[in-house]
Amino acid sequence: MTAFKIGLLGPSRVGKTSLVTALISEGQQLLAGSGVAMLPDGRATEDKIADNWEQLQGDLLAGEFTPGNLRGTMEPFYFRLALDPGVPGARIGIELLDFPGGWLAGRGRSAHSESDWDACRSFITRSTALLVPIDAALLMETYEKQHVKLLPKHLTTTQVESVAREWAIERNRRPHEPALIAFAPVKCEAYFNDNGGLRNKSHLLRQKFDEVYGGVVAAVRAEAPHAQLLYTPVDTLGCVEMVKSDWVLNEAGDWTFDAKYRVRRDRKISRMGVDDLMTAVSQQLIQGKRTMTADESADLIQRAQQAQDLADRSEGFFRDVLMWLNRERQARREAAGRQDREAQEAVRRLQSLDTVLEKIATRKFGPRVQRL
Amino acid sequence: MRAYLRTRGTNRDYDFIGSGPAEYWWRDYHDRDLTDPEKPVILAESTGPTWRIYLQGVESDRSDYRGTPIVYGLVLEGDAADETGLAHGIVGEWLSSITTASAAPGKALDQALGPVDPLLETGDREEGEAVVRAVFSPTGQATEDESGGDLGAIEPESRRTMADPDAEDDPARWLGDIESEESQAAFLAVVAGLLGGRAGRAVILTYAESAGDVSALAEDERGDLAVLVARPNREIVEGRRPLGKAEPVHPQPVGRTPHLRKRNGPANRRGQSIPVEPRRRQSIMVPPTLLVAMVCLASGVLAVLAWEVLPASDDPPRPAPTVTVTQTVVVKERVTVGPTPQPD
Ligand SMILES: Nc1nc2c(ncn2[C@@H]2O[C@H](COP(=O)(O)OP(=O)(O)O)[C@@H](O)[C@H]2O)c(=O)[nH]1
Repeated sequence: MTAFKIGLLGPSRVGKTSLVTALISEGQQLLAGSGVAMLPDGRATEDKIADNWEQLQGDLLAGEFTPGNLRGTMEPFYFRLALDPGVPGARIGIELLDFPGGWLAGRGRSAHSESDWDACRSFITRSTALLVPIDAALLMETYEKQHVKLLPKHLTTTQVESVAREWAIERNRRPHEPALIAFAPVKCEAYFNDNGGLRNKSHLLRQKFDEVYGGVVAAVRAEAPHAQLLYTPVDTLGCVEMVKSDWVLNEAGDWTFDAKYRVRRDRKISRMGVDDLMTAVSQQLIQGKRTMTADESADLIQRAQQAQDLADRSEGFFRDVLMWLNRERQARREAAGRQDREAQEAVRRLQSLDTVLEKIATRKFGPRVQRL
Repeated sequence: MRAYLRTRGTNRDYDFIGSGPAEYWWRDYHDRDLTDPEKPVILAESTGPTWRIYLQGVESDRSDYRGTPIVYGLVLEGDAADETGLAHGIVGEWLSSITTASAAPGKALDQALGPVDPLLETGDREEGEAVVRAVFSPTGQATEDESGGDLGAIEPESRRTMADPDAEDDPARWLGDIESEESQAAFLAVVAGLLGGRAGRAVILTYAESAGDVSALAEDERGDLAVLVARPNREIVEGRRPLGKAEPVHPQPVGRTPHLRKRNGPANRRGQSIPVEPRRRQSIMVPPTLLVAMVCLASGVLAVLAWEVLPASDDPPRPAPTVTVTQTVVVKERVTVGPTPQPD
């Protein structure tokens, strides 16, 4: 099974792992009605999701928490998933690379970290979809000039722009392939009033996003005009209120940003916007798979036709007799029949994929989503 | 023996001090769905003459600028003639630290290292190695410095009896639970064998909980194989379960080989080989002499008939391509559109 690649681009602790976990677990439910299922493919992915779930529950049980790190940051992690459109033979493999966010800001000194980063970048540029989680709290709670200056460093916008540009250039070389870049502000609970929050500051969030990420958006649009650009704010937890946020100077003389969250009484995760992101991703992937299947079935139909021609073709009298005697003619007919059946099957797969695609395509994005 | 120490500083991200090993071979265990190399694990491999060990997850007493606790990782490489006593001691300490959550080795490393950020910035691999040697040295020299109590708490595991690697010739092949002290001791005995020149592996696997989860590994590994399962929320494995000896592969003569194929999907993880029906040949065999005789006879009769009945054709005779051994077309996913192939 060839796997579609999805790249993740964001600094450490922005919430990449939580976002992927949310995508997967919500995806399973959200896609349920459409006949498409999303499953973890392998223990590593299965256990990572369980682990992240447990740790988030730990945060929630604590009642109050400061987002810390839910995973180590030493090794790259490949999430492997299968999107099953319910059509035999049309399973879609998905591979998501979550790499230590620190790699984006600067590599270690060893020669290996360079090759690690190269592998990472090559994965990202070959990705069909690119997800860019953005720390909404950091974006919104930074007012003072001296801290605003630090935003590009903490959000790693320069690095994000350069990698996103590379991705776009590569996508432009394959204009027939789908391409999606989704900017996903996370930790948005305090800025929307559609998920238990009291105030709606979503306009301000969008404005700040434009100010800081305008360059990234422009770069992608210029390099890959056919790419779909989405703005998809997400709550991966939902049931929290921000109580405090601060820029603090640590012992080493570096500024760090901390936000403290209080968990709402129900302590129940209430995700928002994840379904939209999931819809966008599935549409891209199923469209991609459909294009592949269409190519494949055209190929098979052509081969079946050639096999039929060969089966029917007269080779001259003596050879025809010889072929009759050694059953070559029969073998040719059987081969033609077989190829015809395969071609028919591919066509059926294509038709079923179309049905699924239509169902997903009719899903409307929620009001949080904006096309860029 | 070479040692590579990995940790992070208050601000600097995780990295090896100085330089890391040439090959990050432990990642293979993640790619094969066997273990999470960021969790507390030990992966020891030996070809016989050379060995390498990946150790991860001893907790430091330090935390980073956000208050997240820091851990240590260590990679050891050497050969059978090397300081295997020291290496075995380190593995023993590490195992006891990750199974009992003992803070002693982490604290000892912290104290011996001093400030880590500058070390990660400009230090050499040798500095990391020197610290490892001092902290884990079986003579316990490092425990006698002024820092006192905590360091003294380390009871070098190398003082535990190392198993005699030559005691039995048959490969040790088993699976036990990381929670079982008996399995831990047996694990250390296998590690001793690997360090002493036996080929094989001794590994802690966080994605495994039963023999079925490691069958592919058991098939690949022909030497010793000791597996401690450590998947969270598993059912504890009592005692040690034998892992089947890998059968040597004897290629069978072509034409009579039933095609063996591994099944994809979940069943694959059990590593069962599923025999697939050999493809049936499409032609029937006709003895050549009989064929020639029949053809001569039939063509003689038919040639006359043809001359008389069939219209003459102007087409030159075409060579008859044969499909007698036509292969079933394997439907492959095309990669020209959509995703690009997976990286190797
Ligand atoms: N309030 C809030 N916290 C979040 C959200 N997503 C992640 N976090 C917190 O952010 C921290 C870092 O998340 P993680 O997924 O480990 O980030 P990564 O390092 O980018 O993979 C964790 O403490 C999470 O609880 C969110 O949508 N809202």
